[in-house]
Amino acid sequence: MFRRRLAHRGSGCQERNRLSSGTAPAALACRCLLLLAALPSTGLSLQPSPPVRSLTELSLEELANIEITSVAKKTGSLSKAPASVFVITANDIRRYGANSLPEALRLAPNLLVAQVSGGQYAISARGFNGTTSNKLQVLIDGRIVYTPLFSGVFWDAQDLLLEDIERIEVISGPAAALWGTNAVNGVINVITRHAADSQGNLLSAGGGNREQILASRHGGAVGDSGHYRVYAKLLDQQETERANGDAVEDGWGRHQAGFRLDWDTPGDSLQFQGDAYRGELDQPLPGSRKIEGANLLTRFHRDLAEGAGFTLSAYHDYSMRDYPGVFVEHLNTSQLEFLYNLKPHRHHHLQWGLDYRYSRDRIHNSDTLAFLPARENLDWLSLYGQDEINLRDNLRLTLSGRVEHNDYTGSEFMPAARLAWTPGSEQLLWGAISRSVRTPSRIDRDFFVPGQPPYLLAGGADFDAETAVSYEAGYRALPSAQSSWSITVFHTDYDRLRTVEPATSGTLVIDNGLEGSYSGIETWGNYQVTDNWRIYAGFTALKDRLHLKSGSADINGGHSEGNDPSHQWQVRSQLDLRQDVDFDLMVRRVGELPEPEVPAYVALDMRIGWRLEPGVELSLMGRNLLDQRHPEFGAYPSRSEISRSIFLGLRWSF
Amino acid sequence: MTATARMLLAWLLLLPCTAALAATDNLETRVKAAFLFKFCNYIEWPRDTFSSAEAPLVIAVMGADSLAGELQLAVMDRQINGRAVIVRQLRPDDSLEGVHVLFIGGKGAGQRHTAVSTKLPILTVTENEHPAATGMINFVVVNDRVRFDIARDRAEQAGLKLSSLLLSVARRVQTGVPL
Repeated sequence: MFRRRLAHRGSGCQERNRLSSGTAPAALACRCLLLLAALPSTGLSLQPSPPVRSLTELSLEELANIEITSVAKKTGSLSKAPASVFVITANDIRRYGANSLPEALRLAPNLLVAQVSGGQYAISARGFNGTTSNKLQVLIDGRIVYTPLFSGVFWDAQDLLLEDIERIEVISGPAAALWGTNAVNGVINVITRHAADSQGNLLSAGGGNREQILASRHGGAVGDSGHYRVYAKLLDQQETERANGDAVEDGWGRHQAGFRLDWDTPGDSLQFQGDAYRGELDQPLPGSRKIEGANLLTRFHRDLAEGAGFTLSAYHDYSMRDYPGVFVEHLNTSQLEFLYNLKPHRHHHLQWGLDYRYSRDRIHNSDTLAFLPARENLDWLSLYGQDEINLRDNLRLTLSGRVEHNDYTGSEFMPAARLAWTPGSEQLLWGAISRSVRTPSRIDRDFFVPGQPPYLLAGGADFDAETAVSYEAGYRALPSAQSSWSITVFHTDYDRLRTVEPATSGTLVIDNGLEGSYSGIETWGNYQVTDNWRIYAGFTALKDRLHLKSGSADINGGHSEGNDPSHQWQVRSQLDLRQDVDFDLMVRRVGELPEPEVPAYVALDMRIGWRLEPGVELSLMGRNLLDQRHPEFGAYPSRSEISRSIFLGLRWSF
Repeated sequence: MTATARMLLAWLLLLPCTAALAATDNLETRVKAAFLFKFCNYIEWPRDTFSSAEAPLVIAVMGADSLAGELQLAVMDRQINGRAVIVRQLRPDDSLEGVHVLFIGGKGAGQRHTAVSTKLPILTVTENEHPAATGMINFVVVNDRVRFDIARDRAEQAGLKLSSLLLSVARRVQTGVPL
């Protein structure tokens, strides 16, 4: 696994060399050597900076991402990471024309993304997709956004000014050792731009038959070494429809504002950021749902001598969710984290960290359901570490592990071993074995239906942690300056997955009655066809073999933990029609979901962006152009269908 | 003198300079030199700028000797669109005749040249914070990285066409107003 980069700015070492102009094979060797040297944490930090000849082999974009002053930094090269990592770049998000975070995530071929209804999404990696998907770690600038209520993410509460996202790293597969307990099947790591990279003013407005958006940002400097930005965003989405054309009454809107302040001096960086949001989601009786939240995060990083450095970060996150007639949840979470990296020996790069998280919730239960106890304080204490060992020049072993203590199951151990072999500078072959754990959340232990006795569902007092052991192998290559591709095969054995079991008293309880495996393949690549045309393609196939353990009588027959397609693919085309006109297409197909059955669908998304003059861009987008509407998740006939949409946007930066 | 011999001579003359550079390990200078070379791939000059299809492309460097040295190394035996590339070090009084790319180094000097060269089909590149002294492309160091801003109007008024790929990597692309 690559290193954690709590120190905000990444290497920018793009997996894709969009602007490459060097074509000779030797150029690639130079490129790779150079990247190693320019990103010294890859083990060559004592080398002098690369000669200018090899610098000219880099693309403009790569040149613009070389750190020119630091010798030792926390950044690692993603293209060297022995894991299944896909990076969504800022340029991809802009050209796809996503207006919300979940829509941007559709760009990652290794994620399952299904819109469930207005504002609600089911998102996961490597299976187990559902509205209560619980095996994904999701972080926004290092802040964990999954809720301890069900170990999943309320996607309607997570949004950003998408123009301020630097990149989104999507790791499919286990990464619990470095990223935390929930990273059983993957990590989504959203990284926003440094404030210095979002200077000036931006105004973005647009509307269409499905959504309206208004956003603005202002960035400026404070003194010699400080930068800030403030932003605000309004997003409104129209209601979805059922198969018969009836409105679902799930239209929703949210507004959000936030800031980020960065302060850099040689060797030190300090970051402050915060967001606050409020949203309202229509529903038929008994009235609209309301959400609100706010967070504040600070992070300090210092470079020490000889490649060492540390990062100290802290955040507080508040959220409220009011579903009239169902429940109201108030949640406060605080986290403190310390991360240290060092190079005690030229063949070792060590990283270790300590984090403590504390959450306090207060739930107003209803007649429908209850979380008992209604107030709960939970805390998690983790110690984790990683050693990257250069066994030989082209062979690297990464050993990592995390011990986490939680209130439900005590201590859990999550070790991983990864081996990376680089037979040539433009190839990487890797393999990994990891153990990961999903510890219980409130819904696994404390969930009661109805809200008062006698209960039909009476919690899960004995629910234990779910475990997974994953075996992965992957190959990544840059066969030419114009192309790159990646393939990963994986097999994960799961044990103690969640089931709902009949108890002797005639009620149901939550237990760990399911086991089995998921196997699959993930592959993607891109090819620069001509100077002004690049295509991307991705394919994911999944096969699950889950079965109930002896003694289990799961009322859902073991089918409630996920509803996954056997395969999905996407092809994207980024064409510069003219110097000032972008034309983008994405065709994606998601296979049929088995239970509840959702037909396979093919969607065509399109965007034309026209820069009327520098700084002013007019865009026209079409989504789901092939059909009037289609379902992506849920059971017929009550489920929402996602309809064709048109959106006209204007973005002005000045 | 053949082209190769000329290159070799230039390289030998520059050797002490580059040795000094290696010692100071000035990556910023090297990255800027690499950018200058690469920019040429993304610029279209007016047709009559070159006397023939084989006429060399001339990159002139003013007030940045170490960068000129690096650039000399970068362009050796290289061609851009079938043209050899020549690096020429300019003094303030030298003519801009035959120059296709002009780099004006330093923070203070060069305002006069910027004013002259930006009216000619010469891609003028600067590293200056002062708005009046920036060329069509201006290097800025942001977050320890070398980025660049583009004054697109200036370039287009001078008859240069900038590729969209170049514009897309720029930190800022501005028209009219000084950067």
